[in-house]
Amino acid sequence: MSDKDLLQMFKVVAERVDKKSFADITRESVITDLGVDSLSMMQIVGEMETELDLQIPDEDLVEIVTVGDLCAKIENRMGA
Amino acid sequence: MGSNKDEVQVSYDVSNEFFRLWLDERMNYTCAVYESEDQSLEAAQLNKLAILSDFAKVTPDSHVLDIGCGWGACLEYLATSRSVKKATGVTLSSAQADEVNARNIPGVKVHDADFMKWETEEKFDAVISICMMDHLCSPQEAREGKAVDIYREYFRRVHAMTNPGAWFGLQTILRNRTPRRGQILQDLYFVTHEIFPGGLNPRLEEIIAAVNPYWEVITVKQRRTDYQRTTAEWLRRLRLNETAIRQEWGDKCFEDYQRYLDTCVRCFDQHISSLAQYELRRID
Ligand SMILES: C[S@@+](CC[C@H](N)C(=O)[O-])C[C@H]1O[C@@H](n2cnc3c(N)ncnc32)[C@H](O)[C@@H]1O
Repeated sequence: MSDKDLLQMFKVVAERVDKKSFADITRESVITDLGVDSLSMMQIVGEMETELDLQIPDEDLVEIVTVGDLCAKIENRMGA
Repeated sequence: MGSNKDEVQVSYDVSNEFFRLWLDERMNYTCAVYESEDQSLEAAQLNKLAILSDFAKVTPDSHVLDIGCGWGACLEYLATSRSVKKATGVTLSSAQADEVNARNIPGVKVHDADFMKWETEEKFDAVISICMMDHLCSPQEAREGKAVDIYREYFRRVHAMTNPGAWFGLQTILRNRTPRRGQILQDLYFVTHEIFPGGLNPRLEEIIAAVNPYWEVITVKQRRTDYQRTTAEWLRRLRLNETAIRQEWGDKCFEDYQRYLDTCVRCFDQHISSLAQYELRRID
C-alpha cells in the first residue's frame, strides 16, 4: 500500500466518521486543526485498523498529532 | 500544566455534602483495597491507608507530606491511628483545604497550593500521594510527548523536599487499553471532559520511567479489581441517594455522576483503566 493510498483511506474513513469533507488534507495536516476531536480520532483509528487487519499499540496512540503520524504508525505495523 | 485551579474546582467543589453522600464517611475519593469478599468500603479505605503508610515507613516521629490530600482522610488517619505528630497536606482545591483546616486535627496543616509550584522550607521523612498524579499532564501535553518529563519533575520536587532515607507510598490510577469504538468510547470522552477536565491518567511505563534518578521502585501492586469494586460501591451509594441528590443538586448532577461512576466500573472491568500502588525508596 502506497503513501497516497493511506492518505486516501484516512480521508474516506474520516468523512464517514465525522460526516464532513476532508478535501485538502496532507500528511502534514494536524488532526485537531481539522476539527477532529479525540473521540472521532479513536474511531478513525479503529476503522482503519479493522480495514487493514492490524492494531497500533495503545501506548503509541497519544503521540499521533498529524495525519502523517498516524500513517507512519500504520506503516510500521504493516512492516512497509 | 495539567488541571488548573478552575478545572480542579469542577472535579472537587460540587459541594462537600454531595460527595459525603456517596463516598465513605471520611471522604476518601480514591481506590480502597479489599481484604475479603464481605469487607465494607470503610474498612477497605482504612486498609488502603495502612498499606501506603507502611510503604512510606511512617512512624509517630516522621514528618509526613500528603500530596493532593483531598478531604484529609489520610492526614486524619496518620494523626489518629498512627500517632503521627506532624503531617502536612497540599491540595489545589481551596474548599478542601478550608474544610480540613477547620477540623483542627492535631499536628495537621493543609496548604491550598499547586504542588508543582509550592515552595517550602520544611523537609519531610515520609511522603504519601494518592491519585493526584492523574491531574499533572493534560492530553495536549501528552500528545506533545511531555508526559514523562512532567512526571519526572514531580518526582524531583518530592525528592528535593525529603530527608535522606525517606520513603514514598504512591498510588496512581492508570490508563491501559484505549477503546476505538462503542458506547464506552463516548462515555470515556464524557468523563475526561465533564468530570475530570485537564487531566490524563498516566501509563504504568511512564511512571516507571519517570521515577529515575530520584526514587527506587521497591514494590508495585496492581489493584485494578479493587478499584472496580470501589467505584461500584460509590455508584450503589449514589443511587441510594438519588432523590436527595436530584432535589439538592439537580437532575444533571445526578445523571452526570451516575454516568461517570458507571463508566469507571466498566473501564476497570475492560482493562481500559487500572490502579497501582508503589513503595518507593529515596535515592540519596
Ligand atoms: C482524586 S483526589 C484524591 C484525594 C485524596 N488523596 C484521597 O485519597 O481522597 C486528587 C487530589 O489532588 C489534588 N490536586 C490535583 N492537582 C494538584 C496540584 N497540582 N497540586 C496540589 N494538589 C493537586 C486535588 O485538589 C485533589 O485533592
